[in-house]
Amino acid sequence: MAPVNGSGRHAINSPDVVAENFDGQIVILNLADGRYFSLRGTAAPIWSLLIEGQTPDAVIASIAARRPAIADAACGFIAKLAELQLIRASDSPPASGEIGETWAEEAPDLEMFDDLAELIAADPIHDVDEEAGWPMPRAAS
Amino acid sequence: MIEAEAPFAPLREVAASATAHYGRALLSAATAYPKARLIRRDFRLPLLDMTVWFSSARLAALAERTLITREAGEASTHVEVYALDPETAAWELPATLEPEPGFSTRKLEQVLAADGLRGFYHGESRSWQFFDGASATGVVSLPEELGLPPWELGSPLRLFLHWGAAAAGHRLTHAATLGRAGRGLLIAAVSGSGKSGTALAGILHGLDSAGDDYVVVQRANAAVFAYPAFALFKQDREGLRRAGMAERFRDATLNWHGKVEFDPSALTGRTLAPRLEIVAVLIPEVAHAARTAFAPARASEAALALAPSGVLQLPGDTQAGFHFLADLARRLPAFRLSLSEDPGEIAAAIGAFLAEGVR
Repeated sequence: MAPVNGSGRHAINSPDVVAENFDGQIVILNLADGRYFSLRGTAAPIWSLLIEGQTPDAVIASIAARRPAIADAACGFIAKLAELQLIRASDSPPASGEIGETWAEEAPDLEMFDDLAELIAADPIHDVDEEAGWPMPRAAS
Repeated sequence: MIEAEAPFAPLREVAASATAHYGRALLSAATAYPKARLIRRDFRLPLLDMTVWFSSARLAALAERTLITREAGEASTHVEVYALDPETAAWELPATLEPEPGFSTRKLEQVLAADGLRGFYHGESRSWQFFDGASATGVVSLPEELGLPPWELGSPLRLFLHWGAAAAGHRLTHAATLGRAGRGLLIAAVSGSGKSGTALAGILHGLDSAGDDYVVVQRANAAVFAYPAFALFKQDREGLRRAGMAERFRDATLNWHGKVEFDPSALTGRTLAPRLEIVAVLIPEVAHAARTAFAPARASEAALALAPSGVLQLPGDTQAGFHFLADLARRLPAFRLSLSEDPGEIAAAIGAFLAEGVR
């Protein structure tokens, strides 16, 4: 996985990744691997600013200026977004506007759900073991 | 490996890149098949009319037994589907998909969508399903009469219901329902959270339901309606025991997923609700609580409960499906439902919740 280009623009990794904003809480689904995510706290504005075209460097600088205690966590969060292939580098020029976010105190919170990843891993396009099943794993009982 | 060639050459194996070509060849061959040799069945499904030409009388009977005939709402679209197999028709054995690293159901969806098709391939049963949105025509190519993927034996043709609904702006949605007097609740959660058990508890104690696993959801201006899609409920033996139904189904055979499939009307004497106006989303959790309790949930929680499984289990229209279900989560109030262990108490609590109104 290539490191995040701090000075480059990023975009949602469509078409495999889809996301929706629910009043500041982001829900993301990766259609390719079945994992889904909930972003809370400062994770949501960081995500939104990146998708709107702000560079990681600009976002981190904005956080460091107002909430230095969470700047390292924000760096790790952006790297995690790239590692999980939820964002990808974009060729478009970065946004030029100033970041007006005042930033809350809490660190970015990314919750990952992988209960459906097994469903995707046992892809029915291949010969699947009857024990693995699809579209849902066999019930335990 | 043989490359697909139009109109329809026998194939042993089809390359990933040739799947759309293969799908079009199957559609072309199916629509040209002599209809006098096929069995026509017209299904009046929720919001959808579907004409199916079967070569297999057994598959036709299975579909008649499991698909719902609508009693409410009007069809907004019509689809025509051909279901053929070499046991009961002059039909070639379906080709297998050439193994290709990284090729997946998701990739197949993308390859086909670029050609205006929806489709699904199941390697184990060697079965293909294709749907052309422009002509609203589909084909099911099976290796044998009942050679469907095992989970479709309880819900045959469900992908065509899904694709037909999606084409009309509706959505086959992975949720159970309970209701009373025409008002209802969508019950959505990850597997094992008590979704179908809650639906069973409800119908056994006087509530209505439009389904315990999948329903067709329609957005109509500000309102949201759910319609039944499949006639059967499913429950594992432990769930039947909790509901006090273990003895009744003691000798029942289990489906591929280890569950008993049954006609809920045989238990309750009531048919499935023809339509429910949905007033809230419930997100159940098996809490072993003394009393069933409701707590407000955020729209994002409802989206997490509704969208991922509802999108990932139904190939095709996945992005639109995600946004449809997110819209539902925004429109409807959501509540976490902490379940007790008493089916009667659960049903009474949900009935009271419905009767008192959802704010």
